Amino acid sequence: MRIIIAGCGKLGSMLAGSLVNENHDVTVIDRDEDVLDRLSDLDVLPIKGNAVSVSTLEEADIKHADVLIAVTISDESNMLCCTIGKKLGAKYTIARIREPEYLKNMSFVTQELSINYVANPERATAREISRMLRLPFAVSGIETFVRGLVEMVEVRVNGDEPFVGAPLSEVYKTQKNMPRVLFCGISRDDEALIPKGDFVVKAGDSLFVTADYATITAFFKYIGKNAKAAKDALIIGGSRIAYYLCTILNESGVKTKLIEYNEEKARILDETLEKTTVICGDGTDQELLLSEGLKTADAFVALTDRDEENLMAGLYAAHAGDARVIVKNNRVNYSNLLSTFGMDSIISPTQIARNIIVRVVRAREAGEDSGVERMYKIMGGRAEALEFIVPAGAAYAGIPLAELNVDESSLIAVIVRGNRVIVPFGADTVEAGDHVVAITRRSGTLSLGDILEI
Amino acid sequence: MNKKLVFNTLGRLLLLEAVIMLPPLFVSLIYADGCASAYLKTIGLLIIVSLPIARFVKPADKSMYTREGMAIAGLSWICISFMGSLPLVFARVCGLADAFFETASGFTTTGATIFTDVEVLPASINFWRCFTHWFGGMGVLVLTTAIMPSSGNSASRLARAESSGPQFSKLVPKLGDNSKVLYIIYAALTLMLAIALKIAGMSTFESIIHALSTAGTGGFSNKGLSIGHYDSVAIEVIISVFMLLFGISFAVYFRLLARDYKSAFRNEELWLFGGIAVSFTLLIALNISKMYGGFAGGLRNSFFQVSSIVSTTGYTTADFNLWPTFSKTLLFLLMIVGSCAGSTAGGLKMIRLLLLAKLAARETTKAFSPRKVKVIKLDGKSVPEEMLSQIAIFFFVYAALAVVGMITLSLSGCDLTEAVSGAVACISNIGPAYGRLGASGNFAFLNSPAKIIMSLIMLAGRLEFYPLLILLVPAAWRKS
Repeated sequence: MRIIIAGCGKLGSMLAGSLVNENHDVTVIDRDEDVLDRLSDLDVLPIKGNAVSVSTLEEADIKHADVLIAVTISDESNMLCCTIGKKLGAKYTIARIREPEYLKNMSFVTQELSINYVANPERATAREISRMLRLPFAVSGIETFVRGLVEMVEVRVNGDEPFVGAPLSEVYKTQKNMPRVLFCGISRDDEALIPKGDFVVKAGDSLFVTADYATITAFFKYIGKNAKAAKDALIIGGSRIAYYLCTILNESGVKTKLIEYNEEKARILDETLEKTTVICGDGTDQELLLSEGLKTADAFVALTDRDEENLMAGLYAAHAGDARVIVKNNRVNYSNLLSTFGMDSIISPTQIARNIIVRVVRAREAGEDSGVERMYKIMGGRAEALEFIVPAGAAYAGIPLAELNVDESSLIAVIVRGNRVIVPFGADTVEAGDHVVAITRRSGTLSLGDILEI
Repeated sequence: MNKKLVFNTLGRLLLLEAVIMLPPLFVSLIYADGCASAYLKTIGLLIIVSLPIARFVKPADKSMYTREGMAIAGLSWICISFMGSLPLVFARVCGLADAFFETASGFTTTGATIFTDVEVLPASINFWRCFTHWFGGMGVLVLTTAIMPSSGNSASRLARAESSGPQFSKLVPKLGDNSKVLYIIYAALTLMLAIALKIAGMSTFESIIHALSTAGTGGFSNKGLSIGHYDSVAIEVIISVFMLLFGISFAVYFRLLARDYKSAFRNEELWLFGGIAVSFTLLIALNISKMYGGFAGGLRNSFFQVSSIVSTTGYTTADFNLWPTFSKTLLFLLMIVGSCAGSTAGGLKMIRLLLLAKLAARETTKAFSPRKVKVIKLDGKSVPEEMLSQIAIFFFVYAALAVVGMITLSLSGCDLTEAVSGAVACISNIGPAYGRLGASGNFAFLNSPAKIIMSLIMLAGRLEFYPLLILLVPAAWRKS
């Protein structure tokens, strides 16, 4: 596809790299010659200019662009760039918008300003952190589908779980009380497997399960992985991510304490975050951290604007208490190194935003009319999770899944009808209008009909 | 330097050369000129040498950096020229040093020859000489990036090392597509020229080889008198126009095809090129009109010769060695400058001349107004300061290499005019110079070491120096 990326900061360059690797035609726009120079290693077409100017966009051949991604430093430029770009012929527009104020009027912004997709790295990062705090045993990041209603969690199998050793079709007959989740993928010896009824889970497997949020939590409690979810969190740095994180955590009843250095900022945060205790002080000061309860906190999250400070504070927290430590760090290439120091999770907003946008682009690639809403690469890119909306009059609608021929390398992971999440078993049916998440190892799947045959 | 990667790529490039040697093999079979075995031997040798390299020298690290791209460009052009000279040796038309000079002159699109009589050469050898022009004009590495699947990131290092002009810019986002677009435009223009020449009265074979030679802005012909042999106004005009067309940046054609007329003609380099071609043609026409019975005759010869020299082709219709000094001086200046960047032509390039002039004007103003800030612009866009200093240095390297050429030629029995013009004709990939190296002469009388040094100078000129110079820097060969 022809993709234009406006703005080549951290996110823009990272996106350019990923999209070139996925074999797209990428044109990048930036005002700074030096920034474009740094991208000269990539097979992209660099254009110097202002991304909101018509002539620059025309030079980038906006008329024939399939996707325009506006990720300049300013929200306003990104919005304007998408609006102009759409008028000039771009088929699909993605804008990065970070300011919480703008996001309150999302539907207006997206419809009136012709922005098809709004990416908010800070809020996505905050959501990711909150999921990590809730499900501490998850191996990697948690994927969510269908407006966040459905979650997919990866967990390492020790061998003492109740479902190990028996074929999956037998598991729910012996374990009558086990919450109904779907075992949708196994990663074994670097191979991605899509389990069917006769599949036997072994110790050492990496297992992917899907279900809604409550069922997932109950499932993990049942299998004895209920490492306690965090009840309170100590957060340093009053960044936008911290604002979103406190909001989310407060909603789910987690107590939050936020340390911010700047007095003015701290006051504003206290005004907007009613349930959060805001402390004005230096988040890297060890005495302060101890006096604010670092030793007893369940979670410690470092979110200041400086990666180095986050790392130092994180190291200290890992050393001093037994809180789960999550630090924000945009220099992703050091992640492996850092986990050896006892920090549980390194989280990079840039990387998260990149993943989100790449997924949207992949779904566009699957085709506008294919019915694929989003495409996720899972299990290290060896399988795909596809989100579909079942079209009216589909041949397979209304027929119990057991009577359909489900493609050998695919399975239906979850069906969402309205707001109800159904983990499908043989007797369940797919109905028009349902959101369906399918996991597949075959590539080039364009519609649900490719997976479900009558 | 990642030597394994360099040699692996080199092996693959030589395999490609085996493929491009198939057309001359067919020509040889059609005309039964007895050279088929020479091509078969060379193709066999290419496969024996390169297949093991391409298969068994596997680089652990496949990421290509600037220095690998440069080294591959430099080494591959030397090796391809060397292997390409073997058919001439096997066909017993000349010795190894002569053959290397002739093939290097072919691939670099210089068109300087060591043959005293090209008309007695076998048909397939003449075809091969012109065919090397065609591939050398657009570039062998550009061809590989167009047809071989590889990561665009490393391919752009290769194409960058081979492209002419101060900056490498793509027309479409993907390098592979970019190379394809260039070759398609190139092939289409070549085909148009071949058809036009055929209509104007050339035989099919001659129209093909002259089209190949003109497209690469090379200058080899199978006629001793070059285009002068035909003595046809139609052929001269067709070739003159196409020589100028191949001296224009291919980006212009791409923009025209995309109906983006505004940015196609918003090109200062193009206007400078046109202006110089027109004004020099008129000046020389006036200067030589007495020799050719009036202005019309002068114009006919001066238009052809100016087009030929400014596009760095090197065809001749008249012996311009006999022209007045004023005309010879103007032509000599054209030899240095050459055509536009991003074309198949050689030389310093119009864009560099333009920017050097703008730089000189700025520095003059700065002499009396030292604090004046002045951004140099080209086509309405500001030019980075780094590029300006690179161009100034480029000019110096050009001059330094010309000095090496001059000394080499002077030790090989040339007089001063011959040494100076011969060195420039080689670096700028023109072909004919003055004196015994001129339109009616050739490079045959040079001694073998001089032929090899001049071959390397032609290669350096075609690759714009650095890919060849980097091979001489020991530090570049060390493990990085």
